[in-house]
Parts: sequence; C-alpha cells; structure tokens
Amino acid sequence: MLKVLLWPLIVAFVLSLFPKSKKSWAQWTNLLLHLPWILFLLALVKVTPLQGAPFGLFESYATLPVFKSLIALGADTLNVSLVALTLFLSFSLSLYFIGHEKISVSFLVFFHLLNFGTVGSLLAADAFLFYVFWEFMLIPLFFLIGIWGSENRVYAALKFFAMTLAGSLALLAAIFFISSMPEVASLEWTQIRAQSGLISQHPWIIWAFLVAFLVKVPVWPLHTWLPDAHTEAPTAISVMLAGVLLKLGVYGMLRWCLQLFPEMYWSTSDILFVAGLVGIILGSYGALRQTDIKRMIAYSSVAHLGFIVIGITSTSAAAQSGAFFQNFAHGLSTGLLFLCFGMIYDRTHSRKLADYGGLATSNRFLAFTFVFAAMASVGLPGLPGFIGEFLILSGTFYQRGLWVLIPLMGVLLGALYTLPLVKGLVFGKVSPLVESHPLKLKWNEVLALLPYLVGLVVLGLLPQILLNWTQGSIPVR
Amino acid sequence: MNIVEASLVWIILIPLFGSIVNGLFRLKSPFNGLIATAACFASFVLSLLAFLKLSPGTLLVDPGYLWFQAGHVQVNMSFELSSFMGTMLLVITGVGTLIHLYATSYMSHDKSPWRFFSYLNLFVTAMLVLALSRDLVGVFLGWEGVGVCSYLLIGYWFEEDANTKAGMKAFITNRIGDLGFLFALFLALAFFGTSQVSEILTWIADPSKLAEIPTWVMPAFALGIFWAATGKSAQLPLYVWLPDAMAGPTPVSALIHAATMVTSGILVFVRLWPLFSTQAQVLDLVFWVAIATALLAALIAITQRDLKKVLAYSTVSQLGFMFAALGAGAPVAAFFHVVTHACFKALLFLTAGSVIHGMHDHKDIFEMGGLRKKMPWSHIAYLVGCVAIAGFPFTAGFFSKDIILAKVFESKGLLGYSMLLIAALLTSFYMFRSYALTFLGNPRTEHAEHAHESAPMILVPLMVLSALSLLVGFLEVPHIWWHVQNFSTWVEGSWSFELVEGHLSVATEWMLMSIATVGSLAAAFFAIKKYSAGPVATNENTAWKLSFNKFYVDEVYSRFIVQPFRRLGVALSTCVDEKGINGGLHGSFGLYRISGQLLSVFQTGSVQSYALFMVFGLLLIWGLLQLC
Repeated sequence: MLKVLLWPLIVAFVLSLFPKSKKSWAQWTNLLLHLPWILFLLALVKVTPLQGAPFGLFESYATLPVFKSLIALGADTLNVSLVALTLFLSFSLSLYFIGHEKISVSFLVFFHLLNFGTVGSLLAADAFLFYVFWEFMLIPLFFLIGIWGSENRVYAALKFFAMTLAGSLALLAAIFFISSMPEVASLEWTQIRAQSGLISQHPWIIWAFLVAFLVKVPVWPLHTWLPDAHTEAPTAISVMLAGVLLKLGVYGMLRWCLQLFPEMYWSTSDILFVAGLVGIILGSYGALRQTDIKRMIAYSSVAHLGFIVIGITSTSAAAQSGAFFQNFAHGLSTGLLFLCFGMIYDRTHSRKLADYGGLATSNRFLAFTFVFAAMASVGLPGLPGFIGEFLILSGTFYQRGLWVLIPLMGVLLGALYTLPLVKGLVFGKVSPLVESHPLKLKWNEVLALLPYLVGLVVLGLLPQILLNWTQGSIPVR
Repeated sequence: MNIVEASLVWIILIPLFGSIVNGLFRLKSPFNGLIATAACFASFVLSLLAFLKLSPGTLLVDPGYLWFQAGHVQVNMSFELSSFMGTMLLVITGVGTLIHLYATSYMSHDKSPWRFFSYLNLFVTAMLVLALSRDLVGVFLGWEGVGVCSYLLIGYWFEEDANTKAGMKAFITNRIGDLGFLFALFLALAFFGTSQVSEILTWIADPSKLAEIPTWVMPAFALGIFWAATGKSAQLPLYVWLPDAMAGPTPVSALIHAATMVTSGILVFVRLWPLFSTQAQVLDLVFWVAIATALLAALIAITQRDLKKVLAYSTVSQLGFMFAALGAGAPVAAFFHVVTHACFKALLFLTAGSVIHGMHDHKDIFEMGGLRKKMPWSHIAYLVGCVAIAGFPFTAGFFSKDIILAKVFESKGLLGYSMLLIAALLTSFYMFRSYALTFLGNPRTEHAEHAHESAPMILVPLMVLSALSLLVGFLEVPHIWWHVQNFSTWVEGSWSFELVEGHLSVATEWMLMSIATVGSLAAAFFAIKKYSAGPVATNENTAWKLSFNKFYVDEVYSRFIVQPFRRLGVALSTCVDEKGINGGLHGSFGLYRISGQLLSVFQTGSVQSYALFMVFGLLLIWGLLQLC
C-alpha cells in the first residue's frame, strides 16, 4: 500500500532532477515509471479483501505527535478501485504527454504531486492524515491550472481554490472537535467509527464533513467553480478533474460520512437528494446554453454527478452500486471527451463550438472516438453510462417512487445538450478553422485514446466484473 | 412451453463482425457492400436453421450470461426465439439481405460506402438484439441501438445540416418515447421483481400475486411501453421524426423506416400480449390513437409532392393500422400486417430509390411522368407495390388489411371501422396518385426525359420483393375461404395463452371484404384517371393547405413545447448560476480583483522552483516523521 502511495512522490522527485531542456526525456521517463506503479497496484488489488469490512486491509506506520492522529493507510475495494481509475487516467495521459510541447518538466512534477495527493486521500485511514492529503491536492492543482491554463486561468484557479478551501476549513474544524473529545482514542477511522453514536450528538458535524465533499463533487449550488476550472485547465487536468478528482467528493461522502456516521448521514439524505435533482436539471440546462465546448462538457459533469448524488443518497442497494459504478462510467466517458477535444484544441486553439465543423471529414478516427464518447455520455445501452443510470434510477424508483420522473428527464436532457455538440463539432462542412489546421494524430495520441474505448466497451458489456468486485464495500443502510 | 437450448448469439454476432470489418478496413466498392450482404445473408441462413427447429410451443433459448446485478435489479444478456419471433427474424435478415444487395449497387458511387455498410450491419445487429433478447432491458439495448443507427444513417450525408438535424430530431423524439420504456422497466423490476419477458408473463398469470400490487401498476406499465412505441413506431404524438428521416439514403428508408425498426413497438406489444390483453382501457387508447394516426397521415400523404414523403406518411398510416389491430385485440392480425407491410413497403421504397437514381436525385413527383417506358422494370415493381398496399384481391395487403378491418368491425363497432376504412381508401388513392404522376403520362421535365433504368443488382431485389408482395398473403387466407390458419396457429403458439375467437357471421365477413375491395379499386381508378395526364391545378383552399403543410404539427410543437421548454430552462439556469451563485461569490470574495493582482505574480515564471520547493518540502516532512 505504501508503495502505491509513495511511488508518485518518488517519480515527482526523480523528474524534478531533470533539467528544463530535457523535456522529452522527462516525458518518456514519466511514461516508463508508470509501469512499476501499475505492478504495485496489481499487488495491492491481489491482497484487497473482496467482501471485507471497511479498510479490510489496514496498515499503521507511525503516530503523529499532534491531534491523536496516526499515519495509517487502509484499503478495500471502495478505494482501491478508485486508485485504479486514477492510475488508468494518469497512464493514458502520460501517453498523450509524449512530444507535447507544453508539457514541461515542472508540469510533470506537479502532475505527480497531484497523483500523490489523490492516492493519499483515497488510502488515508486517519481523519487528520486524510485532511492533510485532501488539502495537499489543492496546491499542485492550483499551480497546474494557474500556470498552464488558458486566458482566464488565474480567476479559475483562485475561484476553485477559494471555494474548495472554504469547504475544507469546516472539515478541519470538525476534525479538531472530534479529536478534542476525551472519548475518542485516536483519529484513526475505526476509532472514530467506534464513537459514532457519541459524535452524532452534535449534528453540525455531519454538515461540516459534508460541505467539504459537496464542493468537490460538486453538488448544486456549490458547483460554480467547476465550469471555470474545467474550461481554463489544461487538457490533462480537465481529464483528471472529471475523471477522478470529482469522485473523491463522492468517495468522501461514502467513506467519511455514510460509513462513519450513518445515522446523521441518512438524516441529511433527503436534502442531498433534492440538491442532486436540481443539479441534474440545472446542470443540463447549463450545458445547453453554452457556446464553449469545454464549458459544455463541464456542465454535463454537474448533471452526471447529480445522478451519482441521488444514487448515494438512496437506501436502495441498486442505486448505490449504480452510483459507484457511474463514477467509472463518467470518468471514462467524460475523460475521453476532454482528451479527444484537448487533442483538437492543441492544434486549433479555439473552444468555440461555432468555429468547428466537419471533423468527420478531416479526421475520421477522432470523429469516431468523439461520437463514441458522446454516446457513452448520454447513457446509450451497451456502454457503461447506461448501467449506472439505469441502476440509479431503478433504485430511486424502488425507494422514492414517482420522484424518479425528475431525474428521468435528465436522461432526455443529456441527449438535448450532447447532440448539438456532436453536430457542431463532428458533422457539417469542414470549417475554415479545421481546414487550416491539419488534425493528424500522432501514434502516441491514438494509443492514449484506445484504452478508453476498450474500457468503455468492457464496462458496458461486462459491468458485472466491476460491480461484483466493489459490491461488498459499498455501504447499504 | 417446450424449452430447447440453442446457440442464437451467432445470428447477432455475424452482422456485428461485418460492421467492424467495414469500419476498420474501409473496403472499396463493391467489396464493402458484398461483405455486408454476406454477413446479413449468413445471419439469414443461421436464422433459417433456427427457424426449422421451431414449432408452435417451442422456445429456443440461449442462456447467455449475467449482464448486471445489484440490489433488486438482475439482468441477463440472454436470447430466446419463439415461433412468432422466428418469423420476424426471417423478415429482418431476409428482407435485410435483399436491401443490402440493392444498396451494394445503389451506394457504389458514394464517397464512403464502407461507412454506410458499417452502420447498416450495425443496425441489423441492434435489430436482432431487440428481437431476440429474453430480457426487456436487453430489448431496450436493441431498441436504443437501432435508434442510434437510425440517427447515424439519417445523417449519413453529414455535410448537409438538414440531414444531421433530421437525425437529431429522430434521436431526441425517440428518447422522449424511451423514457416511457425506462419507466416501465423500473415498474417491472420493482413490482414484478424481474424484467425477463417470460417471467413477467408467468408472474401476471398468477392472480394471487397480482392482488398484492397497487392497481395502477399494470396500466402504467402498459402505458409506458405504449408511449415508447409511439416514438419508435411513429404514432401520434411522436410520429414527427419519421417523415424527416427520409433525409437518409433510400435503402435506409426501406430497411429501417419501413420494414423493421418502426415495427419494434408492435413486436414488443405482441410479445407481451398476455399482459396487454388484460388492460382494456389502455388498448382502447391505443386503438383511438392508432385510428387518428392512420387517418392524419393518410390525409397528409394525398397532397405531398416528394415521392419519399408520400411513402413516409404512408408508413405512418400503415403503422396506425397495425396498432389499430392491437387496440382491437388482434395481435396476430397486427403482426401479419407487419410481415406483409415489410415486403411491399420495402419494395416501394427501393423502387422509389431506383426512380430517384434514374431521375438524378430529383424526388418531386410533379417533375416526373412517363417513366413507364424509361424504367419498365421499376414500373412493374412499383405497380405491384401499389396494388399490394392498396389491398387488391389476392395480394399481400388484401389479406392482412382484410383481417384488421374485420377485427376492428367486430370489437370496436362501426365508427372505428369506418374511420379505418376511409384511411384504407385514402391509401389506395394516394399510392395510385404517386404511381400515376411518376409513371403515366408524358415526361414533364428534362430529368424525366433522360431517366434511365437501374442496374440488375438493383432490379433483382425488386423482383424478389415483388414476388413476395404478391404471395406472402397466402400464409393466412381468410377463414371463410379455408379452414386452415397457418399463420395464426404458428404465431399463437408462442404464448401459452388462448385468444378470443371471432364471432362474425360469414355473410358479414363477405360484406366487409367486398366493401374494402371495391372501395380501394374505385379509389385507385379515380386517382389514375385524375392524375395520369400530370398534376392537376390545385384549388389552394384551407383543407389543401392544412394537408400540404402537414397540419402544421411541427410548427405547433416547436412554438408551444420545444421553445418554451428550452427558454425557461436556459433562463432559469442563467439566473441561478450566473447571477445568483456566481454574483454572490464575486461580491463576497472580490475574486476578480484578487485574480488581477495575482496574475502578475505568476508571470514571473519561476515555475520550476515552485515545483522543486514542494518536492523537497515533502521529503523533509517525511524525513522528520521517520525520526519521530
């Protein structure tokens, strides 16, 4: 476990030794150094108990002198599966990085620091350690958006930083409070869990925990940083944001709210459910009115994450499994949309939908991939988005009856905003912009896209592999 | 039910391979078409082998695998074939093969026929999934799959915006319908505990279980499926996409928008018939919606000038006939019409394609005329199609329409019957109008003057389909002629369920048959007489305008549903997100101001140093911790 966590930090260190001019060496080293990471992960997957209790695999390394906290890591399929998603995205992006002129040595260092923070937040089994990793993620992300983003990057980075930080401060306050309770032996997850009943006498605590995660997911109305961050961020960071960072919010809600304080969590679930509904509808309409392609995809994430929220606030096992599955479906389909468009943007430098047209004529492979990703995003059966949405919605109907009609509208709205995007970008006559910028992909870019296509087909037709694997660790009321 | 295990999955996979081969290797003409045709034909052969194993009451089952399972939801990817669906399977793959063969020649001059054939084979795959899946969720996989292929094929010539828009309209209108299907699935899973067709049918056959669920569940389930069917099978109020779908290449119109996909709604109804038969009120609704659709579409078809539009509205109208049969409690009659319609409507569309080819892509029948001599084979084929759809004695349409009219008269009385009869007579009128304008008289334009007959590869499928259109009706001759009912016995064997038998007197049946036959002959005669010399100067009164402008349905939808729905949402989202939340944020944090100041800091560019600094800082912390 420690190896999986520390490897990105080591890679960051190794890469930071490269001089500025050896950009392509760093890019290749970065790719190769993913291989040991994959092996470490596979070893971890092998020992992760299938139907174990939360943090079925637990390792404690040291005691921190402050706040009764430990350096402790835990693993079960709930977080290992998300680590695997992180690694998948990071690996495919490393393929994309090769030969990319903007990807400098320092970008790669920050990129791996981000991975370190992500994996740390996922594996941390101590509340304070979790908080440290959670906050740590913000720093590389802030620089990655603020330095390598597009025109409005500093505004976006700052907005993202301010909103996320504001949310996390509440979490920190709650952690302090818990650590100050004499009954709580340590901030290690199982110890807090043991005192869950006692802590639950302070109902504000759940909101303090939740708000940090709700900003990250993001749940309406805390979502407005996302369109800016997504739009301004460089491609790779948009992919990581959509693919895995938003899912950390979902993970936080499951691990640090639902599993930790079930009673308090369920008392808030109706409110969260409504916020999820509003997110689906307003997120979809938000996407519908955009003229900026990345902004449109960003708003579609708000809507998709709305589905996940109504899933994890449902007591139905189908909805919860579906929501967790949807993390991966959305990670692949939206990640692919961003990556695909990123490759186009690298060449044309325009995000305006009106500038595009005729991709199907100028680059068939990209056109195919984009349409494929769009179809995955609208939840076409046979692709994983359908499995997730279907499970979430049938579970919602099972538990809440006719309330399901509202998110069901979201299924229609998904097509309403995605199809114009496809039409504007892929179909029509070749636009002057596309005409003047040759869109031929390099071999490594094609290789970077392929894993997503394979992943989507496999998860769409054989979803039971993932469902089975994670089922035991997803909490049900 | 006698269940036999069989491997059905290859029937589905072979067209899928065909699609992948064409998509990956971008084959040249005619190999792209030939590969696709071969894939479809191989699927037909396998279907035929499976069909030969069938008998009424036998069910071929391919157990497949567990697709997904969580909580109360369990869905298998498995396939089954009953005697009813076996027949449809032959139609899909058989008519499909003919259309593929036709398209091999028809599309050979296109820019990228491999893409066309890749989509077309993918469509066949999805249609087969729809037909064969045991589980309704699997049916839905095919249901949306054919929708996507239809979207891709309608917008196949994607450089024209209008085509892509027509594709989008089809996709979105169908999605509106699909919400009903999804809702029905949620109901089935929550209340019946399964979404597998045979298990649902077993479940509802048990009165003690039915008593446990709320009374609204069954009608809601039936309505959900029907709502979905109005989308896919183009009934009121969701039929509007089908006429626009004619933007796609003509073989697509023949295969997807006439013979197979648009009948999916009827197929699902027939499969679930034991359930629908208990929902009298829903069937009543189905009936009147169908009658209204059949009449409305027929009234529009009589004034259209675009040859494909005439056929499109005719398809909508004929689908109305099928649903009318379902509404009248006659699933076998509805399915019989599906089969005969597949033959003659595919024939009509393919012939129209041949004509349009000969006319160098001109579709306006007012600009044609006199093609009888230029295109003799196409002329015969079209005439056969018209005769069959109008229901001239002994043709396919005669048998299938006759049963529907009789069943409607029997269970819905005079009003429904006479409305449907009018639609039938209108059918005969507008079909022969289009026939007369296209083939009779003298050429009216340059293009008609220089029209040429199509290649043999196009004509052969036309001849086969002509033969089928004339003969396929004999599968089920009226029971007043002969006591053996091959088709009914065969199809009914797929449910373990008794249908109510007819009780019309022999004299009434003869009378109904004569009225319909004489009427359609008269309508045909009238149309030929009126239009054989060319278009008649129209009296542009209100009725004509309503019909020619399709009763302004699209405009009304756009004005009163689509636009308000869109504007309201966009306004709401702008207000809440931009003004409300973001406005509040900017006020409280002064974000814009700070970001302006920070920008100068970042522009110093010592990025590498930040990164190094962070890494070393972390290592330092780690080292300190190790010491502790």
